[in-house]
Amino acid sequence: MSEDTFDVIVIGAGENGLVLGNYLGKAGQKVLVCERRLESGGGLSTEECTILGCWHNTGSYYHDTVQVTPIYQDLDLVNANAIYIHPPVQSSLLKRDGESLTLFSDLEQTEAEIARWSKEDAQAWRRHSEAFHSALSSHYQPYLLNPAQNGMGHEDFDSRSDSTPLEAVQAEFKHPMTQALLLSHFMVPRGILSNYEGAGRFLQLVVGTSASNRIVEGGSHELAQALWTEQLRNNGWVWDSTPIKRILIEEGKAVGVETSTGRELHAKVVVSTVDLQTTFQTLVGPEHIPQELAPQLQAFQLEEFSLFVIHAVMDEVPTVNAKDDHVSRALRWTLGFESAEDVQEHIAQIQAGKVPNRLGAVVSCPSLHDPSQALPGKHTFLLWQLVPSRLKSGDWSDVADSYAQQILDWVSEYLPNMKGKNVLRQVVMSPQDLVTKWQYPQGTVFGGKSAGAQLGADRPIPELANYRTPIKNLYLGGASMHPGAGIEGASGYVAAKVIADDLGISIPASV
Amino acid sequence: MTTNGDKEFDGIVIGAGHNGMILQGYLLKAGLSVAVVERHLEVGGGLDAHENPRAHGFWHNIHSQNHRAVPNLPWFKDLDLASYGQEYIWPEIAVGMLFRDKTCLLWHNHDIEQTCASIARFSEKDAKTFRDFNRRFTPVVQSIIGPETFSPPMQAEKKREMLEKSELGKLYYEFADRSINDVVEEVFESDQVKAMVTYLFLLRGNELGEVGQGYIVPVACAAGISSTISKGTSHRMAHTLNQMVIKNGGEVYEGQAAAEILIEDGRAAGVRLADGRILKARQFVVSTLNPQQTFLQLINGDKIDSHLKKRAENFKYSLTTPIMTLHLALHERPMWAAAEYDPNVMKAWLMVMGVDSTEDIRVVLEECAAGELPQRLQLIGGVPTVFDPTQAPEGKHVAWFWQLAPYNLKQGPEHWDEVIDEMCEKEIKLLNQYAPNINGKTIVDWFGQSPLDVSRHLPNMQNGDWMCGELNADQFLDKRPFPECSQYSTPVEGLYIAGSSCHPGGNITGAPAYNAAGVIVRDMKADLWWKAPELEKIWAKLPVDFPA
Repeated sequence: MSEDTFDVIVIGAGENGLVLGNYLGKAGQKVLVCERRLESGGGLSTEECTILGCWHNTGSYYHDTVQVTPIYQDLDLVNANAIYIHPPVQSSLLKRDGESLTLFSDLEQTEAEIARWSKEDAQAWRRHSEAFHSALSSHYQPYLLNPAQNGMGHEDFDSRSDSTPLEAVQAEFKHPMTQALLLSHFMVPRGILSNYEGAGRFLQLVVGTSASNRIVEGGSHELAQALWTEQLRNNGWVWDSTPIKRILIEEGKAVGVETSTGRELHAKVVVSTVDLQTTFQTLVGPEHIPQELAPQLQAFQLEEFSLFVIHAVMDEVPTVNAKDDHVSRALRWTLGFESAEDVQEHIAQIQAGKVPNRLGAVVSCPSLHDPSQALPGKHTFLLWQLVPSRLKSGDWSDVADSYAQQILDWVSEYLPNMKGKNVLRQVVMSPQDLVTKWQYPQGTVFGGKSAGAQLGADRPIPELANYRTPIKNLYLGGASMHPGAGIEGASGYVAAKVIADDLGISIPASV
Repeated sequence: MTTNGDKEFDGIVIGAGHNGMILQGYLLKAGLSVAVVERHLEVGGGLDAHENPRAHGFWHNIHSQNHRAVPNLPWFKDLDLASYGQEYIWPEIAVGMLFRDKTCLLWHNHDIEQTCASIARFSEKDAKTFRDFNRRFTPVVQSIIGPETFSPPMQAEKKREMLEKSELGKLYYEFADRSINDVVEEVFESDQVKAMVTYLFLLRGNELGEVGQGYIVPVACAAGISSTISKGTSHRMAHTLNQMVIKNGGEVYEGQAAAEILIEDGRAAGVRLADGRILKARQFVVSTLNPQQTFLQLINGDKIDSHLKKRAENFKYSLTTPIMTLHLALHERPMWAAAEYDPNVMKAWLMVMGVDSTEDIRVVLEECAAGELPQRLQLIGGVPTVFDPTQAPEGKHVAWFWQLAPYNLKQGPEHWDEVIDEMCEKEIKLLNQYAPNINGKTIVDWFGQSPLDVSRHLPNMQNGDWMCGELNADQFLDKRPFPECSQYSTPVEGLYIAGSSCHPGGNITGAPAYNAAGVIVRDMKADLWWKAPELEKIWAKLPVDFPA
């Protein structure tokens, strides 16, 4: 086989691209993963973007579904130095008056904590958490790790197929604090807004994973390094700084790719893990798009929001205005939401395309849980807030800096030392930056709206839902595909399974 | 027996810069099990690039920029690095010297006639000298300099005895026994040509006044500048090396600083990491750090003799290699005013400004020695995106410019943090004189890096000396870093050294690693699977007369 010929070429070395490359490599295929950027990993990105020696997770930060699928065990990532840290104090919803609601890695502690606010909610939490874990291998894993289906054959999941998260949460939980906490967990990291139709089906998944947030020692990019290390150990190649200009198509079949420097690389199978627009309009080219596909591609909806991100390096560890001591050790602090109404007001502004002045954010101090991410004695800080991907009027670059200041002033009401000289350096990322950095369409990071018809069997569009495309030997495998972003590597895994089926080989897998 | 995350290998390499990884690759392919430990989360040492956090999509090479003929180097081929998708770009013109009067002098990468034509516009005589050196010294490069670079250095007296038997060797010593400054003054007449040759070798880390390096002038005319650019930034090359190591079964411990080289019964037995874990070495430990880190910081003082400690303490760093860098993210590429004089200047890679004569260089060297900020600015830099568009968003550009500057300012090195931005602003003004389109409107973002930042980021480059030790007569060839360690082994059994503090020094040559690999593989009686030059045999066979 020549240097420029492979069995499989994967476009995009994000988590999904690397996971699918790993599985096909383990199945004996010679896989090349091509990445446009210098650094592989897509959102698994950790950079010294404030001061040298302080590392910031500029994309994905904590991972809550690592143990929901067997992917990381299958790929033996621990052996490639991806080590997860699971902080005991997981997630605190802070009220402005210093009260708080906290989730712990230990279910008993969580139950006792919720019971301080509502005994009924505490029982409901335990019930749903246990229901999730008992259905994990029988229902959730088969659902997440196979091409999309409409139902899961599980009563709680299927019966909520038409409800919104708000309806599902309000039906099962009574206290405003519990409701707000859950709805914020739907938003971050699931990318689901409280009024998304049909997304109420994920209630038990959200409850079941809300306290399983893990961070990667040394930063999320270490996971990318582990993935490509395993890729290389399994007959694979990862070429970064290798943008793909087009997918080579001959007689309706994908036969390879052409790189930006004009190099032609050939393969039996080509997989795109980048967004649908780029895949079809740029890489495939309009002349190869079948007529029936074009209107469906147009109808595909991106989510209407993106992220506004602030990274900072601090001279001292953040102090938290909270009555309970354990709150200061939480991995995640949620600010600005004390009830479902707060969440809804915030979302209404986003959906109206306004820069939200009803603030609500998730913040964290990564170096508190992993000191290796900062210089000795210094601390890293991270804030995410949902914002409209496109503003009705104005441009993100005009408002980003003043908005960041407004947000930080507000944050200091919850974290009093998050201001002044204690903030040594900060970096702001607006939706526009997510476009230029990762080429995420309109800065959206969740691969397409997780609502209505784009959930279940028709994700992303009916014509593409089985991971195959009308162009023979061209497959899809990114976050646009079921089960979407945030289920670590799952859509890459399913794509590998579909491709393996078509090639008549089997991938090693425990599911 | 290993416990609690302790592991055992045949050998451990400290430092995953390019030398550490190349060395690991050779040793792995020789059948040895080897791990590398790196304090930084990203491997590559000076092969580093960062995305601009204020201007995403713009990638800045924050350290190494210009690589010399990397695709032609032995390790690039031996380790099959092209198979990792690593591409190198050869700019047509390596250097463009821009002068204050808007003229320019161009040094082509391949075409000697074009270079001579450019020189002839300043001096016919210098063009003739240049062409003559090119012809006469090409065999010197092939038979003396090339093999010497990729071999452990031969003891000086023995070398002289061998080389002086041939006319080529005599020709070499005719210039080697002088300094770069002396040779340049003697052989060239044009200020501009003198300035070009002198400045380029100053920036390559050579010491201009040191006797012993004068051969570099004619050799340069023969070997050329041979500039190559790593497609996808310099850090892409770090990825390539890292992948090569993994493909060959090597372990890489990133984010794991070595805290101690363990010495047991007088021999190197392993490395203790900062987190307490122990990596045991059955056969050897190699440090690619500088001698002070290796012998004074990483080895318990009781374990080595005082003579070796003294040697390490006395190891000197250069006062004339430290640089400050201006990084630019640009809406458009610089349009050199000198294009009116010679339109080819737009195709040049390394651009030099503010160096019209050796007098300009003398002034900046005096300022460096005195710990003063340079007043008469001189820039050398380039616009990688002219050759490799992947380093910036479509249609946009990144650029970098170096300024020689002292690490030890009179006010102390920390003063750099206060003056770096001001220096950058002055440099932007200077740049604007040579490329009037570079101004507030076309600059997306800029930032500076001082010599202090260099040593913070890469502590082996002590005092900002990226050569990792001055190339003075006492630290050159068989005396680098000091005679006892010049063959890459050390007085401590099982301990080797292999970084830029060894022969032939800094820059992306991979030669310290290549040479150390041969020594270690022979000592371990492992498989010497590659064809390394055998210096003694090559030099013994030099023809007595000049080749026809």
